Order: sequence, then structure tokens, then C-alpha cells
Amino acid sequence: MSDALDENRELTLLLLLTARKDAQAFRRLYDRTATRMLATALRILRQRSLAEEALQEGFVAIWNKAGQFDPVAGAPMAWMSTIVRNRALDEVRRRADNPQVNTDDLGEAAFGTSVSAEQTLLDLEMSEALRNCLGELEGKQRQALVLAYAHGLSHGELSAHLAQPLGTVKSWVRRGLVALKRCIDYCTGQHETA
Amino acid sequence: MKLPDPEVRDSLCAEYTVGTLRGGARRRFETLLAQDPDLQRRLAGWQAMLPTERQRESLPQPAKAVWCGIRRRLGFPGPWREFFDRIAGWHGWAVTTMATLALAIGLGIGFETARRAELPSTGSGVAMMSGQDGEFLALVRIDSDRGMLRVALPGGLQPPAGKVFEFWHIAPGSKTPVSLGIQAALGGELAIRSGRRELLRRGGTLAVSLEPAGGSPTGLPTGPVLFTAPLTGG
Repeated sequence: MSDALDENRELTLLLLLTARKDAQAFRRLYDRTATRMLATALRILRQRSLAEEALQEGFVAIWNKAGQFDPVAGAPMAWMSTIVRNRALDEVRRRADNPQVNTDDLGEAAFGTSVSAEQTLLDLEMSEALRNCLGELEGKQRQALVLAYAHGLSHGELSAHLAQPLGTVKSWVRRGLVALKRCIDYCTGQHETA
Repeated sequence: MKLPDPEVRDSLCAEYTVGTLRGGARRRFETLLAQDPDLQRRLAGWQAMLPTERQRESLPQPAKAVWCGIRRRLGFPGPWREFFDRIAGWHGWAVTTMATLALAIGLGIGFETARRAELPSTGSGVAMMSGQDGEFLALVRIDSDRGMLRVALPGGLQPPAGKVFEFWHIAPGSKTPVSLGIQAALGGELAIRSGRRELLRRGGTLAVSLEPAGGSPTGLPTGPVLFTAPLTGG
């Protein structure tokens, strides 16, 4: 647990230095986190070359936006992951919108045997509260959330993958998030007193 | 278009974070986000909570070309320049070590080894100063060679009347703080007392306490320790 805290401190420091345009700190930030960021992009894009492009774009954005990171809020890894994830999701959407790209291929790649919500959960780092609260969700809601979040599946892709109507998967995602938030707020003591 | 209902606001932030908010709905959300600090805060809350990849052996490494691409895009100088810039920097003894290593091994290979030997393991050049609840206050730049601390706190922090801030160094494994000097207002430069400049090279912790004017009369903190800054890797 203290390793995570130490890493948090170091990454926060490196981000603050990066915001001051310290290229050495930025390089160190890259060295410490790029491998995990690549994994994040690979889960969504499934192709190495695309994932490395998203990684590169992501880090350029991290350099440019480091000043927006709030050190008091903490969570440097989550902040950076979000940037890389968004780049990866943008690429997925670009390919989905582009009629020349064979979206069936993307579908195949996304639904390969390695996409398992339960396995993915084991490979992700998260707070105790989040892990417990995810555990308390209904299996279908949890599966939909993990596939959407970690693997970048859209509502339409979820519907196809889980063989459920669109309305059903939308509801699983929405209700799953509501239940998750309620549970986490409760666990972290932020619930309203009844 | 406004979104007064907090549950709707949370719900949209959540969906945006997870990635299921797409198309027109996503664009509308982003437009709202740009103008709405509360929405930005909620979004940040969601983003901070969600999972990241666990470090593990089996993860594939990014190709070297990725970093080269980043460096090129951002217009960084080439690796040779980075090496010399680092020598010219303020990392004191660690820089000397790297320079010696490079000269001993030979330029090309030595450079790569030196780069990996990179950050000094003690007397780190920058530290983060936080309050007792862990809230970040300021960066402290440490210049061991010149015996200076520089606290990056624009505007400074004024102590209560009749008090000053005193800086202490606590060596690793020690419980005894050693005074480095005082600042009438927290922020800006502190010239460390002579005879104590070497302490910073050894890692440990910086601490700041509130003392009567002129500093602690006893040589140990008499007032509350308000801020600390661990020297990383020490």
C-alpha cells in the first residue's frame, strides 16, 4: 500500500515539474508509466501500431496539459490514463465512423477470447472501495461496465457482444454507475445522513 | 441548456468517463463542461476513482520509436543535448557521478548508461512540501552545491505575528531535526546555515515548524511542525 502512495507522490511531483516544462521530469514520467499506458490503449485498440500512436498522442497531450493537473485532488495515474484512453476511444470512433474501414474486423478483434471482464478486473489497479463496490453489482451490470470502460465498447457493441437489446445494455451501464457511485460514496463516508 | 439535477450531472459525468457517452450527446456535454466548474469537479472525481493498469511483468514495452516521436513532436533537443543540459543543472554530486561514468565508459554507450542511472538517489533536486493532512503546498528546489532552498510559493505565506518559519532536516533513520535556517515568510530563497549544507545530499525529510522570532531557542522545534517534504529516494 505504501508503494502506491510513494508512486503517487513521485508521479505528482513529476507532473508538477512537467507543467513547468522540465523535459527530464517528463522523460522520467514516461519511463515510469508508458508501459501501463500502452496496456490501457491496447485493451481498447487491440492493434500495437494504433495503440502506440494513441500512446504518443497521449503523452504529447500530457506535456501540453500538465498544468491542468490538480495535485491536491491527487490520482496522477488516473489523470494520465484518462488522456491516453480518450485518444484511444477517439480512434475507435474514427474507425467506426469511417465507411472505408471494415468495422467487422474491429468487432472480431474486440470480441476475441482475451476480452473477459473478470480477467480484466484482475489486471486493473483500483481502490478497495471500488473493488468492493464492483463486487456488489449484479454480474451483468459489472460485465457491461468493465467491457465499456476497459475495452471501450460502445452501447451498440455491448448489445451485440452480450446478445441483449440496446435498451437493456444502456440501462445496465446507467444503473450500474448509479449503484457504483452510491456504494462508493457510502464506503468513503460521503453519503448524506438519512 | 442547463442541467440542474445533480443525479443527472453525475450520471453524465460517469458515462463520459466510462466512454459510453457518444456522438451529439458527448459534444453537448463537452460544451457544457467548458463553462461549468462544478461539472468539471464532478468529472474529475469520477476520473480519479476509476481503475488503472496494474504493473506486471507480462506487459509489452512500447517501442523506442514512441519516445522518439514524442520528443520530435515537442521539439526537445536530441539526447546529446539532454546529457549536457543535465550536467549544467543543479543535481550536485549525482551529476558528477554520471559525468565520470560517461567519460570512463566512452561517449555513446556511457551516455545510455548514464541516462538510466539518471535521478540521484539522495539529495533530490526537488521535493514536494505538504501539510499534515497531506495537502500539497509547494515545490522546494534544493541546490546542495550552493546550499540553497527555494520554496516555490508565489506570494509567500505569512506566519502569525511574532513568529517565523524554521526549516529542519531529519536524516534517514534519525529522529533529531537539525535546523537549516529561518524564513520570516514562507517562500523564496533560504540560504542554509554553513556547516549544514551537506545534510541535504543524504535524503531524509525537510520539515518546517512555527517558532518565535529569531527561531527556536532550544535548537529543536518548539512549535508545531506544519509542513514536511520528503527527499525522494533517500
